[in-house]
Amino acid sequence: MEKNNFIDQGIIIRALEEKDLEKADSFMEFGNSLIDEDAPVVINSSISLEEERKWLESRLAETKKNNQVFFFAEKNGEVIGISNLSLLGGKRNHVASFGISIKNGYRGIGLGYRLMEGIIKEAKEKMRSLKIIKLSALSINQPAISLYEKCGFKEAARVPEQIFHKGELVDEVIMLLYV
Amino acid sequence: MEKDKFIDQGIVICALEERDLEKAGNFASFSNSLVDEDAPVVMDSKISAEEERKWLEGRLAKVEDKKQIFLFAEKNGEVIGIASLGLDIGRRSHIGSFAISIKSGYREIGLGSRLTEETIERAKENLSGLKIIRLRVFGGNKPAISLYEKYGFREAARLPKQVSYKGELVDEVIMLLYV
Repeated sequence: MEKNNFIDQGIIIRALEEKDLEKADSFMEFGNSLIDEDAPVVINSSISLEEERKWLESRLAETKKNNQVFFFAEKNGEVIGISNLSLLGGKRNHVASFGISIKNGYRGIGLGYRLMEGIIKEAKEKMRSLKIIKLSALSINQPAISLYEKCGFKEAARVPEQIFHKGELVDEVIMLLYV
Repeated sequence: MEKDKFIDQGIVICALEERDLEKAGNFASFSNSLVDEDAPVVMDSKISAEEERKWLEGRLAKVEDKKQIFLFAEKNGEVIGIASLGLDIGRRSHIGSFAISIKSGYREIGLGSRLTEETIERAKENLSGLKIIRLRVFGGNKPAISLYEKYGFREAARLPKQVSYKGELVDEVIMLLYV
């Protein structure tokens, strides 16, 4: 099956580990590549190596507490996709927010689906309080919305004019998946 | 004017300043009183004075950066209410997230109204780029929803089962105000 041939293509998918902090620069380059192409993600200005490392450290700390699942894909040492899921804590600790992004050039090959499938499976096993996975998408991002629907997410709300993208205010689509 | 009745009651409304960090303990007591009464707020465990101080420092840095309004009410040195409105980041930086809480015993005396009104006014004046004020409220919190409606907020979305409150999963309502 097409989705199983990532290893043949030299693409490795795995969970974030302590040793990956050493290559915070690869993660930073990945983040900044999304900004350079004006991708439909929330951040819109470059991140420094220090910020990226701090962010990864915090994700790792949350992973150790089983409040976070963080997967990424790499090819020849280059980060080409990341996905994470975080429990919201407090009275919302049965809800986890999900995020995913794939580098330009590696989209439409099933990598997003593969990452999502892995992360949702892992989250179900590790996060005992998890009942609902929540995500936000830009309404104009149809490829992403289709992927989320394929994984079982349903639109729960559409909040108007929440995200500024390519000169326009676009709606935020909030989608939920009951696990 | 009705506004001045708070002064007669010894209630003072202030904007957060550097020197207020010294009384982080009073802010922590306020937050912990909400946890003790199982108030409809997201946090569900107590916070230390040190954690509270770090949080206040974060707010203050944003205030100094003109990305945040933070008001609080106190009586005899005791914090009895806080209201905050902070600009979101990146592609959401035209959105300001609003939150308010009032200590038990000081509700329904118009203090929430006063803090809300004052916060919105100051936000309009000081937060450049602000277009939409957004808040979240527990679906069953009618007094809060009425207050928000009074200031022009309208329900934009209702997400099912987002908060665990008094043994049930309750809805989260997202309200918006265009400024």
